[in-house]
Amino acid sequence: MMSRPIYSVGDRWFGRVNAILLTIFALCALYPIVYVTSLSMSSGEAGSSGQVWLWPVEWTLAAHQHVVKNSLFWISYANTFFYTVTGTLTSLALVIPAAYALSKARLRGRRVIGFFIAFTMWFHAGMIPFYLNLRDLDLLDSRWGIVIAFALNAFNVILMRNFFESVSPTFEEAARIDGANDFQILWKVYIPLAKPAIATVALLCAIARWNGYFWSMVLLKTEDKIPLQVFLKKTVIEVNITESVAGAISQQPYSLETITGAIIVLSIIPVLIVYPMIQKYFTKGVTLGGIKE
Amino acid sequence: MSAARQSSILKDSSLLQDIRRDWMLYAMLLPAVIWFAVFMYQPMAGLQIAFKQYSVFKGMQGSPWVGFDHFVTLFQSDFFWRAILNTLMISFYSLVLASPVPIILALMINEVQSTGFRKTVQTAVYLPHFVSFVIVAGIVIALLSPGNGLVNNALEALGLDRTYFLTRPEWFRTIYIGSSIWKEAGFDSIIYLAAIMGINPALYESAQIDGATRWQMITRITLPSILPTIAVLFVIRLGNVLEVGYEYIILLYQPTTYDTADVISTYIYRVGIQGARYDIAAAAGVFNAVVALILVLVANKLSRHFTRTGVF
Amino acid sequence: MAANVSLRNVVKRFGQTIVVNDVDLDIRAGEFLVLVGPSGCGKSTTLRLVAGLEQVSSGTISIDGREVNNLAPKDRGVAMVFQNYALYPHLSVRDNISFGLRLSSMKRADIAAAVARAAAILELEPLLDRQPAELSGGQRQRVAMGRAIVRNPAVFLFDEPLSNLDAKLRTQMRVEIKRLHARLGNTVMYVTHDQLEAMTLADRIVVMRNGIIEQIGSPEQLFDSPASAFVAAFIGSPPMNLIPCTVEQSGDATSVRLGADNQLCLPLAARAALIGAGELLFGARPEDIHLQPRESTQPLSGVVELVEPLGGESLVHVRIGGELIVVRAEGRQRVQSDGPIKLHVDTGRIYLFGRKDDRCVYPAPQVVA
Repeated sequence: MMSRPIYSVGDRWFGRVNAILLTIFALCALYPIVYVTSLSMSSGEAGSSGQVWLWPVEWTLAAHQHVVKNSLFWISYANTFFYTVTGTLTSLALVIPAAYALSKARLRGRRVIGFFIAFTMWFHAGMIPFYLNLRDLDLLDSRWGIVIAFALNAFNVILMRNFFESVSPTFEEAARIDGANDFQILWKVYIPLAKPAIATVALLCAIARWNGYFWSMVLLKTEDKIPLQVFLKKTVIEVNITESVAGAISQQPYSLETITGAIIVLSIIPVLIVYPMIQKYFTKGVTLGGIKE
Repeated sequence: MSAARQSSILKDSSLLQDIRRDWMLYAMLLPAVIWFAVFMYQPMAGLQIAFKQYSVFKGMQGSPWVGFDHFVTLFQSDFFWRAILNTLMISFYSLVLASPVPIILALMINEVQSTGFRKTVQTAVYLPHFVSFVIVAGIVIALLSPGNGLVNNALEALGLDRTYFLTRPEWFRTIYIGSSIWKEAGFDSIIYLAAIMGINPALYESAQIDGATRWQMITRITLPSILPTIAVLFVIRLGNVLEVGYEYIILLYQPTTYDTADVISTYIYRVGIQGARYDIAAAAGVFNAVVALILVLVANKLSRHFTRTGVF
Repeated sequence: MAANVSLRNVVKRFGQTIVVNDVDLDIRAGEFLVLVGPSGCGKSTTLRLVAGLEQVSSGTISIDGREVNNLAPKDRGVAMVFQNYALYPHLSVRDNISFGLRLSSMKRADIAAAVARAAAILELEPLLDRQPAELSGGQRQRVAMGRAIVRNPAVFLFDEPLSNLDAKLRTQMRVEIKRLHARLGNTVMYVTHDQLEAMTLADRIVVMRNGIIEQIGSPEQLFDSPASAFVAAFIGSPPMNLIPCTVEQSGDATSVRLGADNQLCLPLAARAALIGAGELLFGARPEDIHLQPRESTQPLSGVVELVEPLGGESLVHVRIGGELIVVRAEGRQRVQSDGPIKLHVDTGRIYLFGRKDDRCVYPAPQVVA
């Protein structure tokens, strides 16, 4: 970082106004999450009468306790963990070797295969043929269908390939002279070298898995296979929009509102925990994928 | 070693020799190629049902061809036209209202001198990106709830009427774009910040010696320097006008707001997946994909033009 | 252990470009051979062909009498030190050095012994558990050499190993490489663009240009009898002065005319070589031109343009006719800039080269085996 420049009076005021506005923006970004958290920790009465706006009113964890008792919530939570972990590992197992091979100029047909992959970014068959294809492959309502059918995308392959291309070829040459074959070079030299890029791709995959709901909603019909986001959609969105259940749970220390808040808070906790650790990798991912294409 | 140098090897040895020598590379590539063939290209063959009278019993191959009948049906349908119009409107408003926000944010963050404050702001504004659409929709619904949502409480306190915003077509775009800005503006600023970081610091130092104010440095140095990035991203977005966040829209819309909320993808979803009219929906998909491809190709050409010759 | 290396009619094409053009080269077992030349001359490619990192387009490469054209690098008995060292950043120094051995399923104890031996030779013992990022440039260089030594190769290949070091370290490492070679006795092929490295390290130097071997010889041979103006300009620092001249013969006397004002009579020996010659390039090294003409019979006159004092000596830039030449003046001679000056050229140490083909015409080129 450069040392702080010496500013004129006007420039110092500029800086102050800028800082105040940014503080407001930052608070706006955080506010909805704070609000939901407070809502979830307020009494049902306070929640449904709209008294909560910043801090919990009539502090209680009743809503959380109620949600935690729901076995479907935990099943969907476990499912999400399963889809996230196996999905991300599958993605890496496919992306890394392919991207490595594509980064090597000596690969015959490299341009053609590269285009074959990149083309899917510009043109895809769309929702219906994709769905029918999965049906023909007998992957509807299947855990492994979810894991495999969404394991790859062209962007991640290209991002990873760009990284491998940026590595000095002398590492490969040195390893070759040391007697390593292509698998060994990838495994023992390039994968350790590529750790930051691999972390970036892994996190892109993991976040997409954790947060995605659409195809799980379309494909999975059995209740004990659905991931957290689909469970959330069923409980938070569908119930709220119709408001059909409202009032059914009066006389309780929780309300529909606080329950909704509790489900949201409990499902967002893992993201909030890992977020500070992964932030820098996302920044890297945006720039890695953005520079070259 | 330049790529040209390495690729020369191709000319020196036969294909078979190369494959024998580099068989491990091909083995590494194979699973991914199979995946793309099965999950990306095989569905492309399935696009044929857009031209067939699809019947579950006859299967895709057995169903009879009907030519462009489904397209005719679509273009005679007011709902399809409404979906096209809504898609374009949402994209247009996003382009005009949402895309400048990350740029402004990046410029503002860049002006922060204290590393600690800067990091804190970045951490806060990037966070919503990691919140799932379902949760964002859940929060939006809670905030806008007609009975006890915060927004309506505030309106009432100001002496205004309570409104069930999510059932009102005239509010849908505002809600959609506003919450999208909340979710993505911070994260989208990263790419502009990266572009700003690439500016030669000597430009600012010489401007300072010339007596420029911070505001002048922003308008005369920073903005012009990142203009190519802005132009390219703008063009890319233009190419993607048909790609609206249907996964998010599905969570927010309801029959009463279809007038403004129903876009091509949600239309396809309702007709195809929910209504099981695969052929009609696939036809809509074909139309969507072809127009999207053309737009992307044009945008690519434009962006190449911008990156090569610059915008100045 | 040392092996001889031979290249026969080796050609390497990259697409349309011929990078190595019909190279014949024999490297004796235990010899320190330096390939030198400007960038793009094919020296690195030649080295990479021997290493097996590139495949020859035609011709044969043999190591120890065995053709290696189709052998993988690891089976050729070579080790290589790269310009950027290519140390694996995630491995400790010890693991970097033993990387190749561990791949070859060697016994643990043998690996440890080999690493210890290499580390002892290069004085790397205190660094073995460090990561490459924690090492200085010189230390990284030594680790890269350790990685090569440990495999006990018959042929060592160095690809500009010192060019990433600062001037002082470079001198130091040069000495170390020379000592290492004296101790191990392996065959060495060493690529550099630095003529000083070539001169100080090599048993023999190969000067390359445009994919062709321009000249092969010991450092002294190349310095004293350059086969072409290219070699003459490449070897020696500051480089040999090369200026256009015209040969004039009148009766028994042969002389060269340098510009309008200066003429230089050549020794009788030059006569036979120069019959029929017209326009040539006149060459004289800066150290063979002297400022104070000691009873010179035929001084050259010029104008001093610039003096660069280097402490113990000075480089004097003198304009003769239209050309600028450099004279190395010993001691601290006081020379006035912009003043006229008389120069004495040691006619026993001058060179004449063809203007078109660049070849040395005088003194008659020696045939070097």
